[in-house]
Amino acid sequence: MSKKTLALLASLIVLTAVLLALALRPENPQAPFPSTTQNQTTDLTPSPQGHTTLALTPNPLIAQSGTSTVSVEIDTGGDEVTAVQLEIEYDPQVLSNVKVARGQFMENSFELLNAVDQQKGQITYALGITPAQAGVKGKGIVATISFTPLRRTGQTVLTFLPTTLVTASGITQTVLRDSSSTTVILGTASLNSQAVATPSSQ
Amino acid sequence: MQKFIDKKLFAIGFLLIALIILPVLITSLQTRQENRSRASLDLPTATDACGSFTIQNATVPLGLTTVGSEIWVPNYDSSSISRLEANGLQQKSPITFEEGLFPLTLTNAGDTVWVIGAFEERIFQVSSNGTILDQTIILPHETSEDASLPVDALVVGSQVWVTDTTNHKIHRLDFSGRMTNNPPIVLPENTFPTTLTRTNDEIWVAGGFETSTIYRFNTDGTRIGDSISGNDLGLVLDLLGVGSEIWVSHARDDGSFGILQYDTSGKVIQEILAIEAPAGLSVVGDTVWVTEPAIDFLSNGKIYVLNNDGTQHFCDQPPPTLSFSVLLHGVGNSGDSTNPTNHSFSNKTPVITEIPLGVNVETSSGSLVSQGFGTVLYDGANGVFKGDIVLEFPVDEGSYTLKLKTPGYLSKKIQDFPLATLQNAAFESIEFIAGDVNEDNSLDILDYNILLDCGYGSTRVKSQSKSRCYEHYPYDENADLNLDDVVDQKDYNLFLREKPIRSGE
Repeated sequence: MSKKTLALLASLIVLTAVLLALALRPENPQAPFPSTTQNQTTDLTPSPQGHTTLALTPNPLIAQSGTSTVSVEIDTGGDEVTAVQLEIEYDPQVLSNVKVARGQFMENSFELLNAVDQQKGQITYALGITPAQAGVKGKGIVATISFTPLRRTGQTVLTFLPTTLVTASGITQTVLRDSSSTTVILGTASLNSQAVATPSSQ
Repeated sequence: MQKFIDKKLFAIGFLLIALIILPVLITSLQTRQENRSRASLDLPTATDACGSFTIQNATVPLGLTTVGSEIWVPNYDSSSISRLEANGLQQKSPITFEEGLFPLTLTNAGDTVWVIGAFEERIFQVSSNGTILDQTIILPHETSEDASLPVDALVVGSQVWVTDTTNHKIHRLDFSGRMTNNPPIVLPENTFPTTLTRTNDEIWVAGGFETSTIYRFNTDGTRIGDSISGNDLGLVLDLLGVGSEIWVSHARDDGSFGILQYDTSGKVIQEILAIEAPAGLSVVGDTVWVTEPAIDFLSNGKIYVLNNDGTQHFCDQPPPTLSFSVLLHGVGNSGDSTNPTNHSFSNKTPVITEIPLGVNVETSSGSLVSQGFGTVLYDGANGVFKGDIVLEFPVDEGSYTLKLKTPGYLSKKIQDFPLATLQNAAFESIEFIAGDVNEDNSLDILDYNILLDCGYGSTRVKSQSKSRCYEHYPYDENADLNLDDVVDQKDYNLFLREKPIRSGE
């Protein structure tokens, strides 16, 4: 083998090291400065790494006069959940006096935010473990949502927004794989006498 | 077999040295800067007063080309092609290839753009709208051991000439990638053709080893005149026909770079030395765009714009310099969202004293018209960060929205600010809200989760050994909200005082 070839072999080894470093360097998923043409998606993007699901139950809910309650159920699917951020949309023309209360799942966690925009019809509720706690696995109720119907008949939907998130230890992205909304049927009519539109999974 | 391996290594080695290693490593030795306080955040360095601009996420931009109204720049290291507007601003998302393709050169061939990557026997094709097409082109070769290695392509009439480095040939294909009736141009065994270009009726082809030789051909493939070599010419990185001249970017043995301007007889007219490490060349309108690889693999490459006489285009009209005084929540004399006027909780002696800052200049309708990147330095006496940013492009006189962003903080918007072409401007006490650890311009549980995984008590070094914190790379370093080099309760409390859940402006 010639000296030139040996020299080039050495160069190739150097380059291989550089390329390996490049290959192993994680890609920054976002440009340092976001482009002005980027539009925020309105779809809930399923987590590629997560197994957690959220569901508003019961679905449908028959809401009588007075206060009714919907539960936010979580199934972590094995994820070690550290925080939950619920962003839920409702029709403020149909539901009033909307309040959120903590559920038993992560009951000793820290409440980061509990805000209901009664005009806009949006719930933002976030809670997370404290630094001294470990992540939580399993199924349970994260929160309950209570409200009072403003109408006697009709139906409305409570829907998770795309900004709903669930985090797990060691994973940078959301681990929320799927979420499902609920339909609230107003009045005393039985389920059988009304056409219920089951909301599609988000 | 041994002969084949030697030949292949020889050719690949030449290719790598000419196109990749020298521009990056030699430049790195010449100009390495110790601006590493937050190197992993990959913000570009400041631009110079003549208006070069950076290519985001591209360390080694090489053979750029014009496609319609856009300029496409192959990014060797990120396996992608950036798409720029004619003013140099990136408005569209890049074209990204599967891992393993390292694009070197592009050629606009008919309805498609041919993309040639390092180590790739195949030539990829992309439609002008950026769609990666299924079909690829493989150059002909006699045996499986003589696999061809294309480096550059050039449209010559209805043909596309493609250099085949390993086989010392120039193939002539049609726009569909099939062989034409014209046989390959065969070069001597010791010639490894790389880049090629056209001026008037001549095709110039770079070849050779260690020091380059440029060969000249008629459009019918016959050799003409004497080949060009000599002491002036180092390793050729790119060739470009500019009017009746040929521009040659090259690197000499002593580590110096330059652009030689030749007339058609092969005589040197002048050498352009204004750019430290020129690599790729392309004509864009009445200017010449020149790429410059980054000084290291953590920074971004640049593009310079030259006039036909070799002077820098933007020096005729220098863009404004913007001076900033920045308050980072939790640091120095800045308060936070809960205590906006009380900075008693803030860290007065930050360990990190140099912070990257980016600014976008937009019209009221949201169109990006200029941008700039730089750093601000901590002024301990006043508890603020200060610095100047030179915009990459001049702006017409008018009223603009400035969007400011620094890693780890929510973005800040300054609306309806008047800017004039030659007028500098100063901005005082711009406040940034801390806690955007994952840089998505929101304070939410995704940031909170990283804080949990990286605290408490993790120093920057120690955090690397905490596997769960390391999983958040490169955002793990942002968890040190108050810049004291430790992730602890102070950062956690600062995050809570910033009132999550919220978004940047």
